Amino acid sequence: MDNWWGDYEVAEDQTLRWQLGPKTLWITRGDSEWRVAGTEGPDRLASRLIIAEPAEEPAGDDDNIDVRRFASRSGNRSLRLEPALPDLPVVVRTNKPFVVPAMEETTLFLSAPLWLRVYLDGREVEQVDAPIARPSDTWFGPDTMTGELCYALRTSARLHLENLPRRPHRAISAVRIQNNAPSALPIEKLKVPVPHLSLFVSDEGHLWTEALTLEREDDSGGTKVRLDDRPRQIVATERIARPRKEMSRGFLLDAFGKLFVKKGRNYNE
Amino acid sequence: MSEVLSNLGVSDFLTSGRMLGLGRAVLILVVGILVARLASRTAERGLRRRVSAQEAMLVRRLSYYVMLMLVVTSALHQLGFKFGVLLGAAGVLSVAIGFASQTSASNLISGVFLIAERSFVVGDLLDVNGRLGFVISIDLLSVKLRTFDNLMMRVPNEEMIKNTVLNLTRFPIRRLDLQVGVAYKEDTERVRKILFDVAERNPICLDEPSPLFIYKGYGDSALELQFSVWAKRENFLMLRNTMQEEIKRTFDEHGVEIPFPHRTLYTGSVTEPFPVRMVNDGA
Repeated sequence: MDNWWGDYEVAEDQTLRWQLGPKTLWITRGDSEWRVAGTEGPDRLASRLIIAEPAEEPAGDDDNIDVRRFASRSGNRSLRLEPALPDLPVVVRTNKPFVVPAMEETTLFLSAPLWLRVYLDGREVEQVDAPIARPSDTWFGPDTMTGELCYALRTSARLHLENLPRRPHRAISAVRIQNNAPSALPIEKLKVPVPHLSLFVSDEGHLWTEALTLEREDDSGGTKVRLDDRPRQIVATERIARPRKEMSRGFLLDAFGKLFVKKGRNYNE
Repeated sequence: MSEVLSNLGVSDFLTSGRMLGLGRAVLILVVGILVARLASRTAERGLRRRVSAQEAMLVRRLSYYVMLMLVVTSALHQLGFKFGVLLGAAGVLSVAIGFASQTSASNLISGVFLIAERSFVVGDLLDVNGRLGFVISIDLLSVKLRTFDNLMMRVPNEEMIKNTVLNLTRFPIRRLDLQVGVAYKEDTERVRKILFDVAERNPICLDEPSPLFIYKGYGDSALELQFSVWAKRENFLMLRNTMQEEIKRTFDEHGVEIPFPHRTLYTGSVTEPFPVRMVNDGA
């Protein structure tokens, strides 16, 4: 798969177009400004990929296209695109209720949505940091008063890597769950702290996060989170994005949750 | 000149200790107020990280007024006031003052309870007697709110204690209850599916807690349904607009009828029949 991230040159008054799954991105180098336009198609799981194709600039009066303008007098024509992980944790559901018995371990694979960062004029700070496909918001917590806002993954976690579809705008994460507690661990949904993870690229051009281990020691309290320095399932990788947040030592996470109620059969009235 | 001054008793006054006392009193007052202001602000700044904004504000005000009282008392003392006499008079006056300041005292005590109870803090959005406003400050006598149309609303603390006050921003997520009416001919299972699809497509509508569908009953002209969706509280208004717009659009697309009240007119035997016009369509 071709990599869509990296450095590009745009000539004056030229527009380049990228198609990253559902997202279409146009970047135009104007006389003394950059214009970055983007729009998102309805299918969040689309996997089309077009990289830096010369195109016409989209008409400015289309409400579905979000246009941002950045002043630039330097005459610099370079820009860089980078993938990034979401700014909030993601919550993934298991296909059916899934139980990890006591003293057992398992690995689940999931694909996290990516954000797109645009650096103009060779600057160190990104000018655009936006989701490629905006995921749905969701709430992760024991009730509606305490908890944390997260993004919901529409796809479920898989036990086998080969069942996970590869898409250019998503990154694969392997989560090892160790249940060291004396009781079984039922998992209906799982929170993955993606803002603390970094991105790696595999030989085949797929994006991965480092391997993550969630250790459950006992029935009470949080889960211990351990990060490897790189993904475990692939070889020869290069780190291309740093985490948004640094993980402190002894980071504890409330990672396992139960659904409030089954969808559509809701009794919280 | 000196004769005139001596006749007026000014020179006596100037040379007496009273002038000195007045000077001291003014000095105490000026320096005291400055120190009180500075000390109370420093106390507020120091506490801001550890306690909430309104508690820090309360500490500043209380410490300022206590220091101000001490300053005024010592200034009066310099002027020769005897506090024993004043306190005696205060005993007699307290009954009268008590009656006169009943409302203020009640508000003051309510204010202390409001702050201790912590049901809302500065910046929260409250619904007080059907009026919405953001809390600007919680003072000893009243709570000041800024309404959506940018008016300042002052609500006496006593009223806040006595009445039900809704805090709309206490919890991070909120539920929006949409009342949807569909025609009797519609298949409710299909309508339910359309509504869930609309919710799923809207990224600001929370995936979990999942939307709630309630069959409310048989209305006069429509099947009454309630569809409740959740959102982050900051997105509440956007959710309200986007959901209603999208539901209407999707219902139109799928041909689901949103009825309005129907009236069937019965003319009865005593009224004239309805006029009927024949239209020739040219066929």
